[in-house]
Amino acid sequence: MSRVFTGKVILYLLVLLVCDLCLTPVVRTSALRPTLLPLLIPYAAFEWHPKRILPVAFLVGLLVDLTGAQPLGVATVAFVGAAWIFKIAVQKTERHWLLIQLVLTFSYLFVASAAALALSLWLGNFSAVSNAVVGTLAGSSLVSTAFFPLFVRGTRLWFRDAALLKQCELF
Amino acid sequence: MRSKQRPYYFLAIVVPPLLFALQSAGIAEPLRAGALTLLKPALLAGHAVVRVVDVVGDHWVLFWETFQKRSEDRSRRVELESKLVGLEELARENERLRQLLDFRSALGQKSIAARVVARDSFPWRHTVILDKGTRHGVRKDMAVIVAEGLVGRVLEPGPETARVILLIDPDSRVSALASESRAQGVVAGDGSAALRMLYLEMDGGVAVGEGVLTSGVGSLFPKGILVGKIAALAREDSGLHLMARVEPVVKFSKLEEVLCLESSPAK
Repeated sequence: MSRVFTGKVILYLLVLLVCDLCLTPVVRTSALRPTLLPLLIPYAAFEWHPKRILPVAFLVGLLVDLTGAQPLGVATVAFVGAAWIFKIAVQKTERHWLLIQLVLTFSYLFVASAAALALSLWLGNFSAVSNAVVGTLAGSSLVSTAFFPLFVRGTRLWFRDAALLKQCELF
Repeated sequence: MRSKQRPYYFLAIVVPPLLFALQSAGIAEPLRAGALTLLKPALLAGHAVVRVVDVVGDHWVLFWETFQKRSEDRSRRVELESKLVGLEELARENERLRQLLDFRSALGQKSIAARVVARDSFPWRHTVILDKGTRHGVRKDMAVIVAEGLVGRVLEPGPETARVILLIDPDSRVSALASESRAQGVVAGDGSAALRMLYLEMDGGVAVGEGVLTSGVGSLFPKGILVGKIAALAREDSGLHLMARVEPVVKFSKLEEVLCLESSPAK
């Protein structure tokens, strides 16, 4: 396989998962709170290589599915499907500009969450979409995006061998 | 390069339908329960960290002023005030547990005490994870309460943990009645911190300020557990019924210890 499926990456994913389940609910503004685990997908796109997006999205979705209340597979399909589109967008843009990174990150988080919500509705696991639910979805994506620069710094510290994972772009 | 990408496409295309198949085969719940059982030590550690963060957050100003002072007498005060902060937190926990114990004794029903150790990772779902499961007597659809009122019900019990769906979750439904007019309705979450009471009769005599209790209809929740207070009334879109906005009595963002009721509700 690739360097994505290493012990260090999986351990980091588990740390992020525990943070999302236990710590980030404490950091909330009304109903909005950041979710850190999905931020690894934009990080993989911008700091590693767009090719790493799909396997990272798969792992993130699988972890969310195993610990969430939605039907199994919903988060995996949503994150991987949105990651496919995200990968195309990242490859077409200047991904080293912070503003573009933030816009793309917010778009990805919103689309992935909306896709998960739509899938849950379609499968009958979720019965009511109200303005409050859509507002929470958008607001949480925004709050998570605001955390992205800090998340990048922390993740760079964790993957001290991040330089090894970066691939040189040949012109 | 292409051969390295094929495994990714395999994962992305083949595995998700397999996961959906697991869902319909009824294996999803045990799989999820097993995952949470494995994660339980990490969740308990995370919960312990959260409690420390809460204490520091609440007393940040006190610590900042204290650490700015440098003299020996002041450093002695730092030590004493730090101990005081810890003792105050212990006293608060003691009071919370005493209230829960008094409430549990007065209940007249068997109950299982549990701690909330984690919350759902999707912000638009409102579920929590308890540190007790089937091994401790927790069963599916058990009512979950605190001293203030109804919290929700057990959705997915595992061997070591249990997922509880809160009243404020959009998928949550409770048969309820107004405490004075006795008008019957259904309390549902709407994804925000408030609740809605639906299907109220137009001439039911419901008034703002009335309490809302569980009605016991449907045998899921015992009768008479406080849910909230009616804050506003409006006509439903269909025009056939009234809808009430209900302020819940329970602070769902501050849940720490809860009780799972063992016995079935009285009809």
